[in-house]
Amino acid sequence: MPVAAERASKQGPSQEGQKKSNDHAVGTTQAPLTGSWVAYLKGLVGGDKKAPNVGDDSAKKTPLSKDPKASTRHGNEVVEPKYADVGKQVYKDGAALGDVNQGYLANCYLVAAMGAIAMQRPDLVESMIKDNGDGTATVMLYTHDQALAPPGEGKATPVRVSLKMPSTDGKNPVYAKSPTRELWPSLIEKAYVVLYKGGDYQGANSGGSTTEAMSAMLGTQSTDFALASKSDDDLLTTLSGLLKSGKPVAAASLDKDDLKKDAALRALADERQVYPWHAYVVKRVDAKAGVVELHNPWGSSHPSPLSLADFRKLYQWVYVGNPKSPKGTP
Amino acid sequence: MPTALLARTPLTETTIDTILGLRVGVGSLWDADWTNPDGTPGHGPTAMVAVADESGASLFRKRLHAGEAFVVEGREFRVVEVVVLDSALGHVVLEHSHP
Repeated sequence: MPVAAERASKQGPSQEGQKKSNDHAVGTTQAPLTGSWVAYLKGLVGGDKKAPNVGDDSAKKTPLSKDPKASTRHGNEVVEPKYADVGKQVYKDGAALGDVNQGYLANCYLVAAMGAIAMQRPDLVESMIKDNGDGTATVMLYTHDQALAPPGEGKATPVRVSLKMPSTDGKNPVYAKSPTRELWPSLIEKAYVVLYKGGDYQGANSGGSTTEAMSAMLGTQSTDFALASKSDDDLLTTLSGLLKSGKPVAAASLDKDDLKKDAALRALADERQVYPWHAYVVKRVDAKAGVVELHNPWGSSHPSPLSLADFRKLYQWVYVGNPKSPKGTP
Repeated sequence: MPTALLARTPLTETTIDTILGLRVGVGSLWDADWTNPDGTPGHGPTAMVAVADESGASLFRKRLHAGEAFVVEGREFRVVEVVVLDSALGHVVLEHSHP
């Protein structure tokens, strides 16, 4: 098992039975163990087997989660943002890829997953969050622990959080944010930290699994494949078909260690604006021209459109979300 | 920049922060060669620093090492430290004026 994947398997809820390759991490390593998830989740939802629909009044009855610990370490430096009112609107004009910007956390795996789902299935993002009108919102996420749900099917787990977000200037969220000042990316990130990272943003600051993040949002098991496992034609046809069918698709760039001794590859990565150990949204695939367009979850510094050859050189994994309902259906 | 006005912002590899109204991200940390202003060669930890405005439009992008300074839209920055780690995320510390 690659080092990154091995370490990633220690993150978040137990996923026994899940393919280990699905645990492949991006952004990577040093993630802390997060304790007993089953006990934690049972406490969070009161052991209720029937999860409330996030759109009905029961969302407001979900116990309010404590605001996650917000201090984050960056090498030896510690930054301690304070919770502040950074906005009121969960959505302005619906969810879209352009609403999502990664912030001051190494959680590209989560933000790329959010962006990929928002691009392909904004309807699903918009049904994930209920604004309770009392300064809180309830975010519907899913856990995939076999003790709680059958394999492949997540247990709906509402997480109620306050609308206040960690901020260093008292005005803007310091972690995931929206250039359009919509709160939904910050709310999903906050709920994810509560549910999957032990209520501590630092737990999300050292990489993680894109498949886990997609599964947490969609409620079904996400899948992945290595680029090396497919021929050129198969890869282009597969990626193009996935996007056309409305599936969210993300990709992980090369492991930093793979670039260490390859000066030509490092030069190519710099030229094409591809950062290693980073997750990207697969935005567009032109199968005829053999071009792949990727979106950096930063919301800026996007790679230039890549030929299939360069995509293969600079990326190694593709992650695919599996929405419960097909595109165009409720 | 007057010393009293300096602030420091650490940035973990592959992350981005808003500093002085600009989106400043760091990625691709590794050891590389460079040429100093006096023509002598240098080698050590470097980082790709990318700066964009709030709309995401690119304003600056360059591989930098500790001690280098850069100016974007009139805002001055200096790279204080680049830490490259094996099999783990490194970080960069930037110095700039207080917001």
